[in-house]
Amino acid sequence: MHRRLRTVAVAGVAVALFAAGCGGDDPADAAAGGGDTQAKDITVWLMNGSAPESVIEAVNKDFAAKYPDTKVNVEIQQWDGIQEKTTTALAGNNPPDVLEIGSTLVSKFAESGGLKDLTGKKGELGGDTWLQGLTDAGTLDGALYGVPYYAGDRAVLYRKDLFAKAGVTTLPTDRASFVAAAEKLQATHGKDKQFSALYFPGQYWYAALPFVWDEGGDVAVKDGDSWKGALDSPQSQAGLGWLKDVVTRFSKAPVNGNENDNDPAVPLGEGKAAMIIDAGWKVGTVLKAKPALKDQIGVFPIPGKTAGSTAPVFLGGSNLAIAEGSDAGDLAYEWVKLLSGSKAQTDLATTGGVIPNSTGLLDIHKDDPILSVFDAAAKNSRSTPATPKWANVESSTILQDMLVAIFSGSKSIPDATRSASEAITKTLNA
Amino acid sequence: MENDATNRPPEEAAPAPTDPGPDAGAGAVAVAVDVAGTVPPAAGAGSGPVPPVSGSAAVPGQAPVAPRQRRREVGPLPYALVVPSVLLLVGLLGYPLYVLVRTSFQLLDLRQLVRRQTVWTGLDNYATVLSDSEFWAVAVRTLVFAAICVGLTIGIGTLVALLMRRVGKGMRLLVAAGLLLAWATPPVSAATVFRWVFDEQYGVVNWAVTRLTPLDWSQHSWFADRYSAFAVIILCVVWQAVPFVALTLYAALTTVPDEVLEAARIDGCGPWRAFRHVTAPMLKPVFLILTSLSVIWDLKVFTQVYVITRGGPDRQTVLINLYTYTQGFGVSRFGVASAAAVIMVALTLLVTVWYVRVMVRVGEEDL
Repeated sequence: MHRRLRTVAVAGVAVALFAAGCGGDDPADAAAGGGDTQAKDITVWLMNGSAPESVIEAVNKDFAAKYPDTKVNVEIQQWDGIQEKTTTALAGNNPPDVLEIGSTLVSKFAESGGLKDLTGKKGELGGDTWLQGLTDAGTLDGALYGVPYYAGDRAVLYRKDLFAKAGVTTLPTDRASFVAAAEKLQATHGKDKQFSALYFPGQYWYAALPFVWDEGGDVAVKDGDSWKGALDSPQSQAGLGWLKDVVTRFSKAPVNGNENDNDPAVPLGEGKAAMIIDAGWKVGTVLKAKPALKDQIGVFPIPGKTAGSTAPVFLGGSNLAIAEGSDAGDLAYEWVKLLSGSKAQTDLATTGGVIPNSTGLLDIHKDDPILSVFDAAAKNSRSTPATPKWANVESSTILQDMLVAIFSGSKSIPDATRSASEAITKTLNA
Repeated sequence: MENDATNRPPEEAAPAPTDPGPDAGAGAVAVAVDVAGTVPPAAGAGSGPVPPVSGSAAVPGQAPVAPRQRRREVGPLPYALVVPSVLLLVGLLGYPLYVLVRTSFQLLDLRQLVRRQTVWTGLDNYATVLSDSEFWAVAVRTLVFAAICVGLTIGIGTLVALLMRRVGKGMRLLVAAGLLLAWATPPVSAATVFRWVFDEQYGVVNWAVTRLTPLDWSQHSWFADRYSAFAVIILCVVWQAVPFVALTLYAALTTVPDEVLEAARIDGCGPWRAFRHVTAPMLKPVFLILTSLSVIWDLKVFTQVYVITRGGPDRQTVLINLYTYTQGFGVSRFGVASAAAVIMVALTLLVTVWYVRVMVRVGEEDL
């Protein structure tokens, strides 16, 4: 009797320990086994400004119809410091289930092993019509980790009323006429000390790269198996030199500022800036603050060097990924499927003003005088070097530091570009 | 990040040199720096619970009496009482420090972190840090920065404390309230406000200068030049560091007997000589503690730099803790970051131990 009691007790303790071990160590297995019928909450991280609330609400409604027992917690994250936050989250025990990740950062987190391999789901998600650039950004060594979410590029947003008052009647079609327009604008409106013909915060590298590419320069070039920083090439320096001249003459934005803290949409709305280089959805930001400007915001592509040409733009955007450590991977997948599907994408492209993830939807903006310009500009687009190490160039702010040094004059262009190039070479080959 | 030069837990106003305080919870890299912070005050304060504000060491005739008699009274109780603090210290500071040192010998990039892999690399991380020219530039910059901040903090703090002795009760309360408010402001908020105050377009400083002087500073950029950027950071750090120093010194000043000062006056001392030769020597232990605490706090400034300039322009305002942070969270080289943090801890310990020893020796000679 005594012995049996002890055996039972030991067995009980063992079972308890085993159960505790299971629960604590690998909840993902339990979820996978139980399938999507299990009631679980899922947490979604979306980036600030990516999707209007109405789009997400519609997705959540469709999701709730299918999985009424699952609660979806959508948390909006700020771009500033997002790499640090994502790193901490993915390394932790309880990462968010779904993450929106900037297209240039996906491969870094995919390489770390923190994201689920979704290669097998590509067909089911409609992967054959995805935009090539976003698909490439979400792919590492042939495996898909980031589902294309949306794309975005930049163009010049301008104030029609300020242009008219300055007598600028035709839109700039090359960089020379761009400067001529800026001169007129500055001459007319420059009595206001804070007025910028072009508002350009010093760290705004997304808006600086088009001029580097337009001259034939690049951030880095692949040389066999290794990368080499190329911002010190004569072409890159020429583009940056032109930009320095323009920024020095026409921008009153903080030289050490960035486009998050010093959102160009604000001075544009206030009439303190006549032109900004920004994304299509920023029109909405301006109009939300100043509805009276409804007919006063126009757009034209970033001008190129030769007449009639446009500069290659940076094609940004985001992908949707599922954390490897998610304890509700199946539900997370279902949610991603809804947001990347054609219904939500149509909604996102119309109300959000972004470029949708599928070539099947590219005609959606053809009647919109503003968004169609962004869609057209995206056809001549470039991206950052395709390597998981690129994210480290971003987080160590090499490009930003270089631009600030150039614009503030603390370093000459050759010096600034040389040290930036060396740092990029070092970081990409680390 | 919680630990920084001006986030002084209020309890430290009372002499609790080993208080782990709210700093203790922050990540391993951050906490380890604090370890240095807790050691030197203990050394400086000498035998534990003697309030530094009493100035007893400097007052003649109050030397501890009959040490033999005291020793007999010591039973197990004091040790029992000290056990909880020791356990807390070991748990909250010792363990993170252990993890930090261990990590500094590992290759811990994002991949190893996410996959929970342990890869030992010996001294590779230290070699990486020590061969990085930026690290040396940053280390020197941090030392100079700390020296300036400590000098200003102690200097201004002393002046404010002396001022508080002279003004009337109402004014004194007003000054004390102002000091407490500055002290109580969370460093992140204070730094954010300072950044806005010096904003080139919307900042009140540029507005005031343009309005009140013939200069047009409406677009003056404070953060485009490293010296003016540092000036703003230093102002912010010192602004929040002065209250602790001023209030502590004020309390200490109240212990200086009036008769002594009066005697000095009768002997023909002016105010400066009275301070230099009477007050200051009497308060030497307090100055010693305040200075060594300030050195430690100012060596590990992070928040103000992160919020105000994030190391800009062109990484010229990067201090050692921001360097560590960039290595860790920026480029995901946590092993290298840990090595830099260990070096930082060692540096802080060295500076502080050396400083305290010098001060103690000087103090003994004077007595």
